[in-house]
Parts: sequence; structure tokens; C-alpha cells
Amino acid sequence: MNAENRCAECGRVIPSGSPGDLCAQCLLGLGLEPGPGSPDLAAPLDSLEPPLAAGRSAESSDDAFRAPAAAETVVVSAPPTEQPGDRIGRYKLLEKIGEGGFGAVYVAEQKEPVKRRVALKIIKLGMDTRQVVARFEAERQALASIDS
Amino acid sequence: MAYGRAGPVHHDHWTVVLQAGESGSAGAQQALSRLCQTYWPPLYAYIRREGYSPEDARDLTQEFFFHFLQRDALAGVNPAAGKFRSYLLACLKHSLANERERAQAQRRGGGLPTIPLEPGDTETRYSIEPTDGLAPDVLFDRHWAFAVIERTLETLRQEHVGRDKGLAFEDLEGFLPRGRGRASRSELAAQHGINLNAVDAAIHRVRQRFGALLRREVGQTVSSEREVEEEIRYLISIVGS
Repeated sequence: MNAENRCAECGRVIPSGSPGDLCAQCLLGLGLEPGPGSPDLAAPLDSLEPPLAAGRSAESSDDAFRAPAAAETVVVSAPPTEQPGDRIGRYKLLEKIGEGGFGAVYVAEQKEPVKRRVALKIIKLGMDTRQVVARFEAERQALASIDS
Repeated sequence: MAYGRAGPVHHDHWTVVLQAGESGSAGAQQALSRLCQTYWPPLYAYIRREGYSPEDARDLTQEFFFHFLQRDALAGVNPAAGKFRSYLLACLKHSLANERERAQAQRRGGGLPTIPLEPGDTETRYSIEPTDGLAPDVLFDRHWAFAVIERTLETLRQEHVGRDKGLAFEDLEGFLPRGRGRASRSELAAQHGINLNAVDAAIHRVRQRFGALLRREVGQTVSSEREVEEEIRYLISIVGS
């Protein structure tokens, strides 16, 4: 009966019987460890700056709240509706350059404090597990090592 | 609006509670009783899937818990390690096997002390639930996952009761992961005369707190802290099956 009721955050069909019409998978995912020391996935490739304060900026659409993870660990989780031109915090998505089961990678433009292009990795909500975060961090470091 | 002082974080694992319960400690009995009150819906649903009527399922669930709490009918099921979920299901299977050998008349009218069950809602939900050919054990685990979530939501709700500062749980509940019925941040901000940043911060905190309480809840049902993560991942996989 809930065939059409999809979670606004992960995009998956909400399991039948899930309490309060909430997304059981996302709720359980909130209990997973944020992964101490895991990277700021929204960070530019060439530095680990202070994390993005929230998944989206305050001027974004009303239902666009994205919960950041712990203060030093920001995993940008989003429904599978991101597209070039969207803004996520201080980044503007320019072009999707990769996509997988865990999320997508965009070339993005950072407006402040300096204007530059970065690679922004967006992990689907529910996929932001410690292992996935660790894998993304390994990729980030590999990319950073070849970034001029 | 901080959650930091919202009660002790440490809870004994269920094996400790079980052992203490055997020695008759009132506190341990209470803790065990609470665990049973949280996790009876999966057992009730399992019994219903075995073909028992709602009335019989309720009686059997209550009887099972009576014996479980009395620890007098569970010989042969080893609680030494593992998960409360698996242990309880093993005990239930054991109990149902015994039950089939008993006359139905003996089941009724025993005047057993009971765990308060309200199967109305549970019965409605489970009786219309599509099972898609899932194995009874898988369904049991799915219901278990839902019970974990329900208990965590209830704990979170209770933490908000009596607070004179901050947004109410009813305000924030609409921002937990969901499909339909998603709440409006700007409406909430206007309603309380606060800005969107304050609303976002409150949403972030309530979600973090939910996660912490969920870990604590799961922590009581496994044998060690390191199994918490594994159990949560298992429950995520099972509700998606």
C-alpha cells in the first residue's frame, strides 16, 4: 500500500510497517557511528577546510534540510535529485563527473572564501557508513596527490 | 535544548540483566520486563504467522513472557552470548513447540500475571502487511527493527516532555526521515518566531539524539559494544529486504 511512498531523503520506498510512516532505513542509519576522523566530504580537494555548516544553504527550498553529521565530519547526503546548477551550501554544482551506488561526484564551484573549482562528493543518505566514508577518503587523498 | 544531561547513557547488556534477574534483583526484573514490553510485537506477529488467532496469539505471547521472566521453561536455550533478538526467537520457537503438545484448555484461565499488551494497533498493522513470501524469521527480524525504532522514538518523546525551552518533539518529529507529511521549516520558524538556522540546529540535534538513543537501545540487545554497529547494519539490511 506504500508502493508510492518514497523517503524524501534516500529516495527508497518506505518499508511497509515502518513506524509512523517514517523511513526505517534512514532512521536506523542515524544510529551508525559517524566515523571519527572521517573526512569532510564536502571539502575541496586541496585542503580540509572547516566543514560545510549544513547540507544546503538557508536560502534553499523549504524541504531541503539535510542533516550534517558530527561537527568535524560532514557527509553531504541528498536524495537522488541533484543536478548541475543546484547549490549545496557554498558550492554550485557544475557537472556530474561520476556516479555509483553510493553517490555522485560533481565538479563544483566554490564562491567563498575564495573562488575556485572543487570536486564535491555527495553520498546518498543511508550510504554514509564508515566503510563508504573511508573509501571516499582514500579516493580523495589519491586525487589530492595528483592535484596541482 | 541540549540533550547531554538526559539520563544515564550506560545500560547493561541483556545477558547481564538476565543473569541478575535470576538472582531475583528487583531492578533487573524491571529491566528485563521493560525489554519484553519493547519487543513483544515481533513475537506476537511471529505467532500470528504460525496460524494462531489474534486472541490465541495474545495469550501465547503473554504466557511466553510469563515463563521467560520466570526463567522456568527455557532449558536448553543458551543465552551465553549473541543477540537478544536471536535468543528470544529461539526461546519462542522452543515454547511454541511445547505449546503444540498441550491442550488448549490448559492455556486459558491460569491467572498468570501479564505484560500489558495492546495488540490492537499491532494486529491491524501486521494483518494487512504484505509478506511477499518472506521467511518467518526474516519477518520477525523486520518487526524487531521496527520495535527498536518505536522504542527509540518513545524515549526521545519522553525526553522532550516537561521541557520549557526549545521546540517540542511534535514540532521536530516531522523532520525525521519520511516521505509524505514532511513538515515545513519556514512555517515552524514563523510559528515560533525563530530563524531558519535555529530550526535547522534543532532538527540536527534531534536527529543526532535519535541516533544516540538508538545505539543505546540496540546496545541492550547485543552482547558487547562492538556488536552494536553490526546489529544496526543488519537491521537496515533486513528492513530493506
